Amino acid sequence: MADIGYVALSIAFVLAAYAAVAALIAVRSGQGDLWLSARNAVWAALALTSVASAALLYSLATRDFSLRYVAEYTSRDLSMPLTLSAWWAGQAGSLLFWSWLLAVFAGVVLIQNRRQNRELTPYAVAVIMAILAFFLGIVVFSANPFEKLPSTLADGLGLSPLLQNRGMLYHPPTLYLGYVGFVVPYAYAMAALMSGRVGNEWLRASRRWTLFAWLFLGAGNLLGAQWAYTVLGWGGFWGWDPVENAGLLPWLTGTAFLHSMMVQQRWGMFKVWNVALITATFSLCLFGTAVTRGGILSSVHAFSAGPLGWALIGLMTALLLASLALLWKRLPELRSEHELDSLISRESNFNFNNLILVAATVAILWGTVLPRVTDALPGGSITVDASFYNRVAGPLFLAIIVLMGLCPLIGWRRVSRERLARNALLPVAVAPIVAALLFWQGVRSPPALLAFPAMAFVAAASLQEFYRGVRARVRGHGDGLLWALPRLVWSNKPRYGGQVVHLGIILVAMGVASYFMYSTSAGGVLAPGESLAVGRYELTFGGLEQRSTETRDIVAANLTVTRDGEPDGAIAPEEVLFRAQRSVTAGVGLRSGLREDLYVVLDSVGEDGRVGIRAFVNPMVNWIWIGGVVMLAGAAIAFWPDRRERLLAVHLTETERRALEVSRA
Amino acid sequence: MAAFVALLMTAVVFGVVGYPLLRPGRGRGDLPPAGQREIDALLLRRDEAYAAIEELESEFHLGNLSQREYDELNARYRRCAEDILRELEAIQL
Repeated sequence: MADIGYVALSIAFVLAAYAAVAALIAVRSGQGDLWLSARNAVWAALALTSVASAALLYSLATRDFSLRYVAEYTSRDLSMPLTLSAWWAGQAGSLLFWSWLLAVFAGVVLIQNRRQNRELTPYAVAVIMAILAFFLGIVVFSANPFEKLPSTLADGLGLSPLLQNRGMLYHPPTLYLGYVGFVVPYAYAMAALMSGRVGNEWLRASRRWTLFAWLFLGAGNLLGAQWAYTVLGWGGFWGWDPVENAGLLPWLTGTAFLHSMMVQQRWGMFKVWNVALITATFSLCLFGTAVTRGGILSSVHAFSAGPLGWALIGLMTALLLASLALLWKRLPELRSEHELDSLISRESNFNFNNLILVAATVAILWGTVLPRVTDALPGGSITVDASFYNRVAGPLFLAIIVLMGLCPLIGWRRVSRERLARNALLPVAVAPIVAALLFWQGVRSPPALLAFPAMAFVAAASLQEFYRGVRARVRGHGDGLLWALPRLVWSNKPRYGGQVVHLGIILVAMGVASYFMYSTSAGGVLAPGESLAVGRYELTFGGLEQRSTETRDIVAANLTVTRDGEPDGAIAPEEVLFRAQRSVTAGVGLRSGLREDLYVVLDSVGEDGRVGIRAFVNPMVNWIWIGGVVMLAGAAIAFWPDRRERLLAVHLTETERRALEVSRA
Repeated sequence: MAAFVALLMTAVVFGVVGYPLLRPGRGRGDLPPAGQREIDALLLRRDEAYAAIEELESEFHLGNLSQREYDELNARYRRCAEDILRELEAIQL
């Protein structure tokens, strides 16, 4: 089976390269047969990468320890779901997964564009297949998941204990769907530049793909943060680690692109912005893969090291240079069709949005690569810690949040001062009220007195948008109150899906701000009967409990909890020894609620029966996960095909006739 | 067995990919003909013009536009849409 898998990959590599070249020649020379051949090559490459993927999964499931990859990442005692998740655990397998996703997306692009975008699609397919050829080339010649060992092992080394968690089943594939998904809008942008069709066609072809990739990249980042929070045992969910940053960076520029494309579609502006943003986004996806899989930066998350990282950086550099060259060539054709009429307009808002998101991206990227860039300096490399990112990113993200609130208050092109004042009255009034309430409750921190009222302003602006829409539907369409809101949202999914996303972001922001500003912690060594106070909790150590499973030895510290002086159950942080790997991980004692999390870690177990305990009270952390779900729901609503798009053709036919009758009259 | 499967895969794949080149004519019409570029561009502008009209009505019902602003923009967008329809009709005739 492994041999079949490797042969399939080798043929797929040749086919991908052929499809890239054939598609490009076909569209330039108008050879329909060559384009058909290229399309068949895409389908064949998809079939063969699927065969190779199935072969690897089969080898994993049957625990074929004659293969190096299977032996390095699985063992007989590993559960089947985690065994299959080893597909993306290691470098070779994850590159195969990347390649398979690329091939699948190329096939979907062909299906979606059977009858539309027929001039752009061959160029886009050429770009996608060229990138696929690159990845398959690495798999075939450098990172072969079917490499055989000199002899078959009796058992494998097993999966890293930190990865033996259900997060392994969904975090990596979700992130990869995001990373790989951005290849399609990038390919269409390059198709526009190569073909000279630099109007809005490429945006229409890529809008839903952009949402898809943005949704999954955002979900992947949140799932990773949650996994880190529940497993790593340091009390936090985001450490500004290079791999974490690498997942955030393309999401930031992707967010800018999602908004900026609306301006081009309506007014023919921001054309250069949009090409630059999607190029930056996809380049950062490659950078993210290089950091995670290529080990070019030191990170607790980086899973591999070797030449792959630099190969990906090389690809990223080549694509960047090619994109810039094409952009330069088409610059005269990318002139804006209109100019910004007014600073107080949605277009201007989106312009500031682009600038701030790019500034945040540059700052975070700089902090991330600084150690590598300064490696060769006489004094050694320079590193920055979390405080750098918090100081830089915090104010920028707050500015983004304020812009989010302004957006529904102002219209396209311009808004009169009177209308702005009328729209802004309620949200602006809410902000100082919230500030006053916080002050009355004893909050004195300037960042808190700034951030939370700003979030309240945005929430009020978004909710007001829904209220006005519902009111318009009740008055204009006669909808009942119960049905007006769902019908409103469904009548304009991109607009109101976007507002739902904004509300989700506010919930996330409230959780993040509360955590960073008000988290408390305490630590100590406790003998049985001794207590540790943290926040309004007191933890009393009752004793140790030991148990074992097939693969692990677990020591749990039983702690009774009192909250505000009243008994409040128990919590039991653990120390988990994975026998096969001789590795110890933390089993976090976590009690989650809407108001706060009680988070307890067993740091050490002394021979005298005393234990080292660290405890955190993390306010409103659950709001981050809840906000994430709301964001994703909003993105899914915006992604759903709009009935108006499908009926547009029918509606237009009638309107066309009326318009032509009017013009002839 | 593996070698046989590999040979079979290779033969099938190259047959599928090479067939359109060996039996030309099957791909005729798969690439847009000359002149389609102009029609596609007009069709896209038409779609966008009508989307703009619908959004304008939505903004008006939400109270984001005064009656005067709505009338002015509505007239402008509809003139634009009619121009596009005339251009389309001229090409298609």
